[in-house]
Amino acid sequence: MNYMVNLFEKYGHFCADGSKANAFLKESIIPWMNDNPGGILLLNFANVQRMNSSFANALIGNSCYLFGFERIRVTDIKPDLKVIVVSALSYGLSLKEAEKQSKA
Amino acid sequence: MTTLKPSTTLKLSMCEEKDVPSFLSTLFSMNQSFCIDFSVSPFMIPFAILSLLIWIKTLQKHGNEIWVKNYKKCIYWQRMDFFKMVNIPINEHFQRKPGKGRFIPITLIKETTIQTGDFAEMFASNVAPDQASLDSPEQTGVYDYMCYAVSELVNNVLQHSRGQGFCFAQKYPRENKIRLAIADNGIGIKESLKDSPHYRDTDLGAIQKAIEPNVSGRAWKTVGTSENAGVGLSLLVEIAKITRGDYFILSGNALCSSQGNCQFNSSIQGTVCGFTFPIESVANKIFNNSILQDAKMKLNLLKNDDEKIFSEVFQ
Repeated sequence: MNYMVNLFEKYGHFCADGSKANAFLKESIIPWMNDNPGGILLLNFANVQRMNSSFANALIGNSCYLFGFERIRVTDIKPDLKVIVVSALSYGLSLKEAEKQSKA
Repeated sequence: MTTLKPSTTLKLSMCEEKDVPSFLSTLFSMNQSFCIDFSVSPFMIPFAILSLLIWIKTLQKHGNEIWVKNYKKCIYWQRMDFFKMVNIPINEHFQRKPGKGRFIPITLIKETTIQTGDFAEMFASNVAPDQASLDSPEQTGVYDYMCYAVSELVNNVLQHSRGQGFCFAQKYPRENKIRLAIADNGIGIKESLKDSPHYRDTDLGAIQKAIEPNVSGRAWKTVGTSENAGVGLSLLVEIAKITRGDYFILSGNALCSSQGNCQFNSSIQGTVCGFTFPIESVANKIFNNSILQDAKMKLNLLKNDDEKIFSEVFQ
């Protein structure tokens, strides 16, 4: 089962507002991912031209931290936006590792 | 009731990047009602202009009054809406022309009315490097850099400052540079880190901590539900270093900058950030895949094998 998010429809061609991404994460993504264990978050970047790190870290980095990158898929992304997504995933993974270390 | 004009006068003088510490030192010595003399109408970089603006607002908030004199011939400051932004009413004696391609005047950032992305693109299109690129500004690294920088800085103002924000940018064709400044009259960086494990008890310590990656955001509050990871400011400082530009961050009584760090005897209420970058260092580059990527690598926000690790994510 997939939860598909069309980012262009939701945020336009420039995904720039970290607070909006964070609100969407809390209100929609976290409840759906918790209700559907094993479900995949499918982020469709068709027509998205720009994104900043605040937005990517809030939405993708935190999703990666909470649910693992294995439950995230990205489609139709412009090649130059990939580096921002990879960096956000890396941020999410680093949060996970920091949490493991603090528990150990 | 008659209010006497203050005896202290600040005669504005030239302020380029190298002059910022001494300009701020002089500015902060005017720590009560004073008069600004615009008779020279000197060249001042946007960071210095917004620092003056925030200092005036700080003093006004504490009941001081600011006067201006010899401003009539000072068209530049009028055109940049400086007087309007500091609530000093004046009569304009010139005809306004659009600044497209050269500058965007001091613009208020209002949380209720702006979309961060739209605001950043408006700024970018107003300082695109030349006429050719205005036809398709999205093709230039300059446009991309401006979109990225303004959107990150606006996010900072909206998320952390709890104050009013101002943004200002100008292109300088002879120097082939763009200067961008953003300011707010909010709580300042030190106060915004108050409940954080990254808190520092001096303004300089707080600024230095805030430009480390993953500090100034709110990840420390509830890990995994942060508003962002606090990388915007650290990345922009790193980009300034990579592009051999300049950066300035003034908050409270401290300045952290490419021209050195200083602490002053007076404090502004809020934060002012300024960036200068040579156009040639970012033009004709795919910003995200070159300069931003390099900055992320240097700050260890991106590692060599990350793309391989996360390859299954991309379909």
